[in-house]
Parts: sequence; C-alpha cells; structure tokens
Amino acid sequence: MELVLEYVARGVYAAFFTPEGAFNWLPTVMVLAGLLTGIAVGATPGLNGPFAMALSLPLLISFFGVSDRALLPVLGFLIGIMKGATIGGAVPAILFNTPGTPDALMTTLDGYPMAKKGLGVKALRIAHFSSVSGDTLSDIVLFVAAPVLAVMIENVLDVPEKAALIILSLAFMAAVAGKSPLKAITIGIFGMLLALIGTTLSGYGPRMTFGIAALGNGLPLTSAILGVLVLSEVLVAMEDIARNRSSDLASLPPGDARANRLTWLDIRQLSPTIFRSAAIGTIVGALPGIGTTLAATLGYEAARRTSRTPEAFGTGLPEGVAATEAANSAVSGANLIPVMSLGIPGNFAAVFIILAVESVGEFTLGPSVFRFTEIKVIEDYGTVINKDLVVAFSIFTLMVIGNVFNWTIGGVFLRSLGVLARVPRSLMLPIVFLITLTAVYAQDGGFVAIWVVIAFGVLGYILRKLEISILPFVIGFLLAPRLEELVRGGYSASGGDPYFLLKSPIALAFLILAGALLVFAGRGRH
Amino acid sequence: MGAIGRLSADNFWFLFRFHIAILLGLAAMYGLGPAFVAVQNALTGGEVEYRQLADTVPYKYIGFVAGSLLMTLPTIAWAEGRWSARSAVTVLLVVLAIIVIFDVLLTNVQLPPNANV
Repeated sequence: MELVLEYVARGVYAAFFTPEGAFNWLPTVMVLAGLLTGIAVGATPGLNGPFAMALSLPLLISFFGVSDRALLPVLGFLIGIMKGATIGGAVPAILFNTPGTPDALMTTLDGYPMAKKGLGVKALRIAHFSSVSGDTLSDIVLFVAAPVLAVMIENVLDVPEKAALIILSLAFMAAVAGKSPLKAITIGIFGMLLALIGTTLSGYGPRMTFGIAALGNGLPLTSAILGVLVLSEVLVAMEDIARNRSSDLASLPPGDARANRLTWLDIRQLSPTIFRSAAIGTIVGALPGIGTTLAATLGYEAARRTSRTPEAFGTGLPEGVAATEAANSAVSGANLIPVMSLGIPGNFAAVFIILAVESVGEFTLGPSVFRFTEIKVIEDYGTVINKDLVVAFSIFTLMVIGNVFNWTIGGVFLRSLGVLARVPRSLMLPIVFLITLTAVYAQDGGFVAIWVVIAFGVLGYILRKLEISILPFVIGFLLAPRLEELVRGGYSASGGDPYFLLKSPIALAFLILAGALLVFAGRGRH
Repeated sequence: MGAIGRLSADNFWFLFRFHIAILLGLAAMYGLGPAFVAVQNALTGGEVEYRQLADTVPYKYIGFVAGSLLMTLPTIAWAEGRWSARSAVTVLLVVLAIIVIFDVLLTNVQLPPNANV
C-alpha cells in the first residue's frame, strides 16, 4: 500500500512540478483551456468532442512538440475537451431543441419543454450538476478499476492471450455497434489491412504499397482517422442540411430568476436519479464500443420506469434532464478503463487519447503501465522506478483538476453560451472541413495527407450511409500494428508454431467467445 | 436525402458535387501562387520562381486564401440556398485566424501548398 501511495504522490507531484522542482502551471492551464473549449464546442451544433480533439491534436503537437514534457499539457487539453463537450451539448438541446452533440438528444425531451416554461436556466443548472456528478463518479471508478484490471491482466495474460484479447475486443465492438455485426467485423478487418500498408515489421521492406513510394511509411495515421471520423460526419451533415434547409429557432419566454434556482431540495430529490444514471453510464462506458447515446437512453428509461409519474416524462421534468446528463457524462471517465488497462479504445474520444499518447513522448498505454515496480535509488545510477505509472497517476490528477474546474466555473461558462447554439451548421461544417485539411497538411507535411483524409472521408461517408459502424474500422486500423507485433512475438516464442493462439486455453476461450459474440449478435439482429 | 441503410444515386451525386468544389479549391491552393508569380514575371520580365518566394508575404498566402474561399463559400451557399456577406466575412476571419495560428505562431509547419513547392 505504501508503494501505491508513493506512486500516487509522485504522479500528483509531476502534474504540478517539473522534474527540476519548479512549479509547472502548463498542464493545469491546458486542462482549463480544454474544458472551456469542450463546453463551447459541445454548445455549438454540428461540432462535438471528438471533432475538437481531432482538430486540436495536430495543433497541440505543433505547439508542444513530441517530447515527454509535452505529454501532460497535450493530454490535459484533450481530457478537458472530453469532459467539457458532453456538458456543452446540453445548451442547444435545452434552449433550442437541437442536440449540440448526439448524446444530448435525450436531453431535448425534457430540457426543451422546461425552457418553454421559462425554466431554461434551471434546466441548464440541473444538466450541469448531473453531468459533473456523473463524470466525477465515473472518474472514481476509473481510478480504482483501471489499475486493478491492469494488474490482473498483466499477471494472467501472456503474449498470445493479449493478441486474442484484441481480437475479442474487436468482435465485441462489431457485435454491439451498428446494425450488422458481420459487416462491422469485415470492415474492422479491412481497417487492419489498411494499417498494414507500408509497415516493415515483416523485415522484407514496405508492403502493399502498389509501387506508390509515398505509401512506403504507411498511411498517415492522423489523416486517416480524421478523414473517417470527422470528414465523413461533415459530409453526411452537409448533405442533410443541403436537402432540408430550415431554421426553427423559436424564441423562449423570459424566466423568473427565483424559479430558475437549483435548491438543496432539488438536489436531494434528483440525487437517486443522478446516482442511478451515473452507475448506468459508468458500466456502459467501461464496455468498448457502446456509446454515450445508449447510456443516455438507458439512463432516461430507467428513470422513467422507476418514477411514480412516468407519464410526466417528456413534458419538462427535471428528472428527465438529470437522468440523461448524468448517464452520458459518466461514460467519459469509464471509457478510459479499457484504454488505461488494456490500451484498447472504447469510443472515438478514447481514440484521440491513444493517438496523442502514440504521437507524444515515450509513454505507452496498456496493462504494463500499472506494474508497481519497487522504487530504489541506486548510487551513481539514479532511481529505478516505473515512470509510466507515475505518468498514469499524473493523468488521473489532470482528470481531477478537470472535475474541480467543472464544478466551480464550468456551470457559469455553460450558461453564458446560448449565443453559440445559434451558429448555423451550414456555416460551421465547411469551416471544420477547411481546418481539418489545413491541420493534416501541416502535421503530415503535404498533399498526400489531404488525399488520404479525403479518401477516408468518402469511405466513412459510405459506411455511415450503409449504417455500418465506423468504430470497428477505426479500432482495427489503430490496433493492427500492436496485434501484428503480438502475433509475431507469440509465433516466434512458440518456435514457429502456427497454432500457438489455439494452444493457450485462455486465448482459445477468448477466440471462441469472439466467434460466439458475432454469431449470437448476428442472429439476434435477424 | 438518400435512403438510410443503402447508397442511392443521389448520395453519389452529392459526393461528386461537393468534391468538385473541394478539388477546385485545392487546385487554386496549389496553382494560384505559382500562376501569380508567372504573370508577374511576364509583366515585369523577371525570372523568379514561386519556390523562391514561398516564404514571402503575400505570395505564400495567395493560394491558401483563394483556395480556402473557393472550397468553403460555394458549399455554404449550396447548403443555405443563398450567398451571404455574413458567410464571406466569417470565412475570411477564420482564414485569417488559421494563418495566424499555423504560419505566425507555429514556426515548424507550413500552410498549403508551401510544403509541396
């Protein structure tokens, strides 16, 4: 226990001080900047957290570089965006019946009717309180669950089992996301194949480049992911706007300041709903591939079913707003559990956390991070310590800082953003497109990045139109190099046995489970 | 809107038109700076290449500004069903902000097309 506390203390210290002992304000300021950006982005229809994370990552890398010291400021900003965006989405949902982010859709059901009754500010206060409560609970679960899970995995799983676990995760995502598990797993494997272009783990030089020299180093990672996630969403939304030109921003009645206060009585009455939804959101968030929208729906339904007046839901009930917001915000902390303990992203926000970690510094995510190596000082050598574990606790510290800012100034900032909700998507989306092209050009250094981002944008657009989940594709693309490394490692360690994956009982169980998941999910859909 | 769950000809028609605007914008981004220098050379009898001026104001911004406007303004007008001065001013301000961030504040990156000339 003493060792754990020593690592925690070092992690907290590293979040505020440089290795030389000077106070380091940068990570804290970046968390605040990210949080405010995230709230503003969430409050702007057409933008969402992953959008903002995608666009800011190349900028952050250009500003801070890729040294170890850049990691905490970069991650601080991204964590701030992640936390802020889900809260910000409530602003247009409540004030204009337009969800700022997809997961705020359920907030419109009771939030907008409250605003129409002149209780818009109270709905925003409830949304903020519920959201931050859900987020905080979820973070606490993350801080406890991620290290425990990682230690268990590291003790039990060897190379073949870790490879099988990645396959199982991909199968799970394919089974739960989208309408067709078979199509989702196919597109996941396609993503893996694309990620293998140009890589040289085989030792025989670049592969699958079709003679195109520019592909020798592989497809630029950030450009590909920005294309399939951001550009495809811009395309779908632009098509939708161009075909359904309408503006229905209604004016709302002015509210009474007294009626719009959030009292202790309100908080007491809403607490069971908030806690229940936060628990649902945390469980959903911990499972890879299940999004915030489902968490919000489940939270809302649970609140309605347990209510004495279920018929009142949808007419402007504070419980409706609280249930939705607590659930969708609780996802953001818990979805880092698979990221921190396994190195496997469970949703789009987590994808950008992994991208940042892979691009900046030497820190890597995964079960080995939580190895509690004994700290020893050796003369003429230095300190023997698991530096990654210190960084992990620094990241947790940044999340706590984010929560403190969110509790204190997040609500005030949130309530001042009504004006952003009026920015038309028709104006915002082409601008996002332009910024995306510029950012990938700047980061990946040329027009090749632009062609890749456009090609992947079209691919993402087609997948969205066909209702095939994009997440397995992105995860496949992102995790393929690690899977290949594990498979090659396992193959070599087994002395070249092609059946090595099937000879480990745990790996075999994972593979059977992966197959069963796909079969049952496929049958269930039919 | 094209039917959800399948791709219709409408969807491909949308993709085609949208990318025409984008490709025109990218073509302007890539070619307008060198074209401007070529015209200037023809008028003044100079023999300077765009490559030599790619780090000089205003040459390094010509392609980027023109290309940005060309790819965003038509798509905004298409989505809104009308051209508006508000959109033009907003896009210009955004382009200015991008130049300040990517070219003035960040010294280790280049705006399109200057990494390719």
